[in-house]
Amino acid sequence: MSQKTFLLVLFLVVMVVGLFIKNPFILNMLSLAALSVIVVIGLNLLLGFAGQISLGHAGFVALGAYISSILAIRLNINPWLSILIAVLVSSAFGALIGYPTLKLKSHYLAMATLAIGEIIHSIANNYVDLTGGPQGLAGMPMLSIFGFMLDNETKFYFFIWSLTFLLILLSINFVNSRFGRAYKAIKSKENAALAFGINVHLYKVFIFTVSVFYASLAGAIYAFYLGFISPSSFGLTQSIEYVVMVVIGGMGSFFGVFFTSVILTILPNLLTSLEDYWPIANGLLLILAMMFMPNGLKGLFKWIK
Amino acid sequence: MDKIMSIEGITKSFGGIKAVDNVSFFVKKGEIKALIGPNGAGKTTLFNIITKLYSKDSGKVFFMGKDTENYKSYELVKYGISRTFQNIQLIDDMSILENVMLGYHIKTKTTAIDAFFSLPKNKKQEDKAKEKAMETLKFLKIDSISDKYPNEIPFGYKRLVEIARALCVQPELLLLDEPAAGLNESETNKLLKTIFRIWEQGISILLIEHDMNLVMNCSHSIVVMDEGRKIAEGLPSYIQNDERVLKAYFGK
Repeated sequence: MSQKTFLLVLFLVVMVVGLFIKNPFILNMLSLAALSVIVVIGLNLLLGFAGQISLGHAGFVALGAYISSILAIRLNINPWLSILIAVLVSSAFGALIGYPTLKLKSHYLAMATLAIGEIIHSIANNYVDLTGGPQGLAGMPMLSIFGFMLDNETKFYFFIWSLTFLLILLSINFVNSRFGRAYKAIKSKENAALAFGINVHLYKVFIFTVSVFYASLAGAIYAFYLGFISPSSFGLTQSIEYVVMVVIGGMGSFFGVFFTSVILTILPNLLTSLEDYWPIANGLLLILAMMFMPNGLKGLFKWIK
Repeated sequence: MDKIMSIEGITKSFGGIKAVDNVSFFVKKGEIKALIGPNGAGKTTLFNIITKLYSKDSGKVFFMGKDTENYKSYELVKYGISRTFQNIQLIDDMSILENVMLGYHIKTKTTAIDAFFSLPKNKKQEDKAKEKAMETLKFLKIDSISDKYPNEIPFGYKRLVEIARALCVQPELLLLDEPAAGLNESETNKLLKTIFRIWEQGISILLIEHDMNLVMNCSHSIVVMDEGRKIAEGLPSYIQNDERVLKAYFGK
C-alpha cells in the first residue's frame, strides 16, 4: 500500500470515528491529540529526516499561541489573521534563531534549542503585562469558517483532523522529492551532501523553519480552541515529550509518530489519577524504547511504501 | 595544452607538521592524472583541500582558469567538479537509484513549494532525475541493482555506485579517492575498464590511489608525494624507474 493510500484510509477512519463519538470529553481529547500530531509531524521533519534535534519545540508552540492570542485580545484583530501573523512571525523568528544555532551539532544544538525554549517560557511567565504571567491569557474569540462557528467539540474535531491530515500529506509530498533525499544525506553523510551541491547549513535552517511553522500553527489553533493559555502547557517537559513521540514513533516514520503522538496524548488524559507519575513513566518509556527498539515503531509500518 | 585544474604551491600544516608542503601540479583537459604516495604522504589532505573540506595555509587552486579561493564545498559540483569517497558514503536508507539521483540534485530545479504541493513540475523533475540516474547505472552496467539498498550489495558494487553518483551530473573533472581500495584483482580490472570508459566520454580524471598496478595501467601521468612534498612527476614508465619513488615506496 502506498503512503498516500494509507493516509486516505486513516483519514476516513478518523472521520467515521468523529461521526460516532458523542462524548465531548473524548472528542476534546482526540482534538488535542491532533494538535500534538501537527507539532510532532513538523518535528519529525527536523529530527527524523534531517537529523537535527530541538529541545525547544514547546517554546515555538507557545510563540504561536501567545502572539495570536495577544493580537486577537489586545488589538482586536480577526482570529484567522492573528493566527496567520503569529505563524509567519514565529517562522521568521525560527529562521533567525536557526541560522546561528544550526551551525552547532548534536548535544550543543540540543542545549541551544533547550535554552531558546526556556527563554520563551520564562518570557511568558514573567512579562505579566503582555502575557498575563503564570495566570495566562483568556478570552480568545471562537474560530469560525465562512461564518460557520466551530462552537462545539464535534465541529472542531472535524476541522482540526482535516487540517492535520492536510499537513501530513504536505510533509509526505515534501520528503518524496529531491529534498527528502537531500535531508537523508544531511542526516547520515553530511560530506556527501556537500559534495553533491547541497548547501547543508541553509537546508538545515529551512527545515527548522518549517518545523517551527508546524509548531506555531498548532499553538495558535490550540489557543483559540481552548480560549485559554498559560505557560505551564509549554515547558521543557512538553518539549521532551515531543521528542519522545518522534523517537518512539520511529525517526522519519510518519505513521509511527502519528500513532505514538495520539496514544501518548490520550493516555495521560485517561489516567488522570496517575498524573504525578506520568513524567516517570515517560522517561522509562524513552529509555526502554532506546534500548529495545532503537528504530521505534518504524518497523510496524514497513509495508507502507 | 589546456589545463583543467592547476594546483600551485599548496601548503598545509597541522600543528608543527607540514602535511602538504608547497605542492604544485596540474591536470590537463582530457587526461587521467594519478596522485600516489605511501601512507601519510599528504594525498588525502591535498584532496580535502581541493574539495574545500579543509582550508589551506597558502597556495592556490585554479579550475578552468579561475581561482577557486571563494568557492564553497557545495558549489564545486556546480562548477563541474564531482568526487567519490574512499570510505563509501552511500546513504543507507535510500535505494541505489535514489543514491545516484542524489548526485543529480543540482540539475533538478524543483522548489520547496513544488515539493510540498506535489505540483506537476516536481514529477517532471523527478522523472528526469530518475532517467539520468538509470542511464548512468546502465553505462556502468549495474542497472540490475537499482532497487537494492546499499547494505544488500557487495563492496565492489558499492564502489561503482559511488562512481555512478559522481558521474550522474556529467562533471568536467572527476575526482576519484582510492577507488580500488578494498577491491580484489578481478574487481580492480573491471574498475580499470570503467575508468577508461569514463575518460572516453571526455571527462578528465584525477585519481588518488594506493594500488600501483591500477595507476601504472590507467594514468597518462603521475604525481608522487612523500612526506607532504611532491617528489616526482611524469609518465608511468618514468615513475616506475625513478629512484626517489622506489625509495619512498620500498625504502631502498
